[in-house]
Amino acid sequence: MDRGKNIIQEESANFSSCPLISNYQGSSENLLLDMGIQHPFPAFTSPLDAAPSASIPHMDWNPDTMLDNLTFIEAKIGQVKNVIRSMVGNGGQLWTEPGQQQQQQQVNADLTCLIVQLISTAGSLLPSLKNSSFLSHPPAGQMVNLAGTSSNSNPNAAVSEDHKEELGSPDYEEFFTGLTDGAVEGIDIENVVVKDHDVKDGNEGGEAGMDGDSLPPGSYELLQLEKDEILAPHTHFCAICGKGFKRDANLRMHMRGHGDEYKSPAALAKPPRDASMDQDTVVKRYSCPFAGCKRNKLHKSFLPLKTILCVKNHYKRSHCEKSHTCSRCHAKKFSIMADLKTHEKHCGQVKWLCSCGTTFSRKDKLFAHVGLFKGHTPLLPVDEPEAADKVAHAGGHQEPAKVEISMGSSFMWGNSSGNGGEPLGVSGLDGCSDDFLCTSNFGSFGFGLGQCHGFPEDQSEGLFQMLPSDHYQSGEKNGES
Amino acid sequence: MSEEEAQRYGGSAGGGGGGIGSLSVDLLGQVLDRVPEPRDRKACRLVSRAFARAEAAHRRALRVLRREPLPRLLRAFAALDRLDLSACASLDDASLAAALAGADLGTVRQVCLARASGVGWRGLDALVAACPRLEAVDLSHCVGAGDREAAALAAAAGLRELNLEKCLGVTDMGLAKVAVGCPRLQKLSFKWCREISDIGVDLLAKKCRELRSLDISYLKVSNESLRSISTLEKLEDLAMVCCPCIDDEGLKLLSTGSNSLQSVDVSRCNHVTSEGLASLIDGHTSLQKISAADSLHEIGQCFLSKLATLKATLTVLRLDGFEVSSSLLSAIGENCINLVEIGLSKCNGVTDEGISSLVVRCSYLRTIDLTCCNLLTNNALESIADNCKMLECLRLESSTSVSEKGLERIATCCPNLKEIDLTDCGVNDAALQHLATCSELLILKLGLCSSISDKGLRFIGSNCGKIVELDLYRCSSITDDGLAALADGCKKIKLLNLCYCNKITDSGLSHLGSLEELTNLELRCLVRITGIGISSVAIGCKSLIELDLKRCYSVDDSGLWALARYALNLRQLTISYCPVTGLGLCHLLSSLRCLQDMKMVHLSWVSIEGFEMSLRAACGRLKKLKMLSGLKSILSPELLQLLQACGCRIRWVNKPLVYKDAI
Repeated sequence: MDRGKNIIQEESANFSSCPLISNYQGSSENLLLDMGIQHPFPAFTSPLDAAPSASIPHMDWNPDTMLDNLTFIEAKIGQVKNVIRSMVGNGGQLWTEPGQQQQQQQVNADLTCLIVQLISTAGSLLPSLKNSSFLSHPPAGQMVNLAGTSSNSNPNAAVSEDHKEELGSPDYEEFFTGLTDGAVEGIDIENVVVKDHDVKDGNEGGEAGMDGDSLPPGSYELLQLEKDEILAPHTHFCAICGKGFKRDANLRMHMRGHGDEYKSPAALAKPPRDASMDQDTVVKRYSCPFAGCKRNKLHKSFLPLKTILCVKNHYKRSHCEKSHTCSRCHAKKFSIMADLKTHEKHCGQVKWLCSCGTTFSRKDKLFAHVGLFKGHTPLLPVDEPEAADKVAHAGGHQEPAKVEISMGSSFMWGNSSGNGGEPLGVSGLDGCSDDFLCTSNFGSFGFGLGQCHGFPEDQSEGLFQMLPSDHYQSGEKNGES
Repeated sequence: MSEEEAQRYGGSAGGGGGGIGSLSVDLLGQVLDRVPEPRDRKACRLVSRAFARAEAAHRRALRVLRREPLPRLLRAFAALDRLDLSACASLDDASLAAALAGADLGTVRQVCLARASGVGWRGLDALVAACPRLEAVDLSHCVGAGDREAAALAAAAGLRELNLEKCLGVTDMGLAKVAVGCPRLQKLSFKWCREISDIGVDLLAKKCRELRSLDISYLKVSNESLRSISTLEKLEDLAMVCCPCIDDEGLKLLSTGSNSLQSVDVSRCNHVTSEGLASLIDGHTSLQKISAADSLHEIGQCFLSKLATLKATLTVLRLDGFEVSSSLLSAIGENCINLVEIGLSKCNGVTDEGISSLVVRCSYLRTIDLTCCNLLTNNALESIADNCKMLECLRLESSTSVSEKGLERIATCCPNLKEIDLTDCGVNDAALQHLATCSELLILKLGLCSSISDKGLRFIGSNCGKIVELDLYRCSSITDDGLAALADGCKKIKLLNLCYCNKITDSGLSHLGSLEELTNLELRCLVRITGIGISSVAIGCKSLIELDLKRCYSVDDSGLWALARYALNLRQLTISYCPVTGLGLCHLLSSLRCLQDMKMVHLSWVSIEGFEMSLRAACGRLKKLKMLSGLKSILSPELLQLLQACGCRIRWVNKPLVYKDAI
């Protein structure tokens, strides 16, 4: 437990050293944007000041604040314990019935927000550790321990089950993504998804804003958010419970639960806009921070992105690892939850498989795909017994996660070697963290078992469900390119 | 090989003499290359070890007839180029894989597996893995083959020729596998693979840009396929027989395409008209062959005028089954002066006049098909003889008005005649006397010419020593003496049909025993022949592959014993209605290791146990079986399952037992 806590602290310190985290305390979205265009750190006049423990003047580091923060952390740990006890109090049953599932989701959300708060506050305890040695370390082991610790305190089967579910919730995943991307400067996604940046561009076409009003260069203000900002999960945090929100309006709705003073029309009203913002009629366009991307301002045929949402979606789709795996086919991966949901609507109707792992619901689409790409070939149903199994099992989510994971991994293996590309190697990924990448490249189940020996089996698997699959994807991409 | 060793081997071989052993293997290989007959090469091989060694090192082609020696043969011949396993009895995945495992087949480029229905994807996987330089595979008529088999072949990336004809299980997926896996394909046939659709053809056209020859006959593909095919720039030969969904629109698409078509076959495409063909000619002015048998309803003027644009190139024109007038034939003659082959089979309205006006311009004609043009008389033959000096093949079936007079002119004017079909023409011995002057004759069909007698056969036997195929179906005047003359003169005969020539007896068959190259012999309804005659044929005709003894009412077990003992190459046998017993059948089926196709309807003397035992004995080898449907319920289900599992197809027939005397 102690060790776990240390790591939480270290990790979050690391976390907070990024400008991204400091922005969490900023109240408005504009702040975030300003950060993007290389403003110095803004003044911290955040509503969080109201909460004693949450004022984090982390630039100058005084013992009082630290003590405050520690008290806050203690309180939060207490809350976490309470939540977990309440789960234990449920009799340790698995949440299977619908009503219980709902309850479980609620608990999950609470737990998530508590832990997020814990980490962000703990991070502020330490001064900037940007250049400390463990930054160059891969975070996986730490994350393993981190996640392990949080679940270690509740060795109940129900809890571990819960954790598995929890990882599926978008908040938590995004949090993790932010964590990895923020910390692992060395690995960086550039190495991973370089090949992909032009191909995917069509995807954002609709929302990207090149349509209709393609502005001549110079007629708009060009902003470029850094990847940390793009991947920041939440920009609005509750000053009382620390829960994060993507929209201020949602935060205001949430605040009503904390007392009557937040229910007044004034509190619920939209905060008045800055006068300066009102006058600001310059059209804004956005550039992707990914060098070499068509959406990057340095690209020779640069196409700007229209809104921040476009930036986020584009960046996640094109330059991030796809961490959301379809729970039915275990083959399709998405970096955006909504994309996964769209896919899941149609998943299971898949009949036509390509050797690259792409699936199609119509034969002619598969053939058009095969016709387009060199080296791709349609897979006969018999070629992929695992895939067939998976489709057959698509309905049964209750089976142990381990089986599904190992299936998923072997599926990926088969594909990438079938493409005739280089085997899943670390070639594109070295320069960082050998052990982490190696383990992740050599089978997700191996990773799970090797790293988390001490934990109950299904729990650890649940926890790592997301991580290895990320790295699978990256490995696969390398193989293809 | 050291010198003394060579001498020892050469000397010990005796017949080879001391000199042969001292020649180098290379030199002996050169010698063997100049020995065309397999039989002679076998003699060399048997008589001298030096030759045997030279052959092992130099042999390029191998046709294996039995499964058992396959591993040894593949190891022995290290320089094989062509491997023919189509006749290899009871070949299956396991035996093929085992044989391939021990052999070095680095040089093999062509493999024929036609009708090797026991071979599936596992065997093909092993084959493709063992033969890295594989360029051509023939998998035709493996009716059980499907996508997995196609996928196994697709692993041979260097494949240039592939025949998937009648691989009934192949679908778009299998074709896509092949298209992606074998981008260098030049020749591909997936005739009869009726599961293949437009999208498969489209993908093929995208991936295999080197295709020169394509056969999509009997497919349900539409004009869209032709649109894809029209992008194949190197395509020269396109066959689309009986594609009911293709019409003139498709041919128009084809004509606007970029390929260099030289040969197109739209036979029996019911929706193709002469306008479509005309537009096709528009786009491809160097067409050499057009086959439009039984497809066009009438030949329009537009087509005829377009033919003129092909004047220099068109060499083959097949227009079977049309209403053809004299003026049309003369127009064809005027427009296509370089024709080498014309097919007018079953065309109504072909008259002497029409033929005369055709041949008067087309003096290069070598093949003229006038099957069932029954208005023709000797005048037509005379004009053909006068104009087409290079004639090689003339088919006149059912032309009842031709006689020895016309044939005399043909025989004297066309010394190159190799094939003539006079079935049902009512010709007589005098006609044969004239034809016998054509010493190049290879194929002679005289079926239903009942006036032909031994005298006529003597003419043939004395002059036409090269004859390979002779059809004497229902030439009922022929007796043993005629066969004696024939067997004496025509030693090269491979195919002989003597069905219903019911004057033939055992002594006639004993003459046939001297025909060592005879492969196919039909003796249907020769009621006088017995086991003795069959014995002499079995002993003498060592190459016999197919034998038909249906309704030979006097052939009993003794005949089967002889076949079992001597006819070791026999692959196809019909013994329906023969008075054989279960014992004979059992012995036959357990002895003949090459037998694959057996017709045994109405074997009234064979008991159920007899059938059961004999079928079990031949289980792994049989591929086709024809039996009375009554047996279906009587034979044990395991046996039938076993047969099916070994790739055997059983045709159940249900017909009453009627004993017919000949004619």
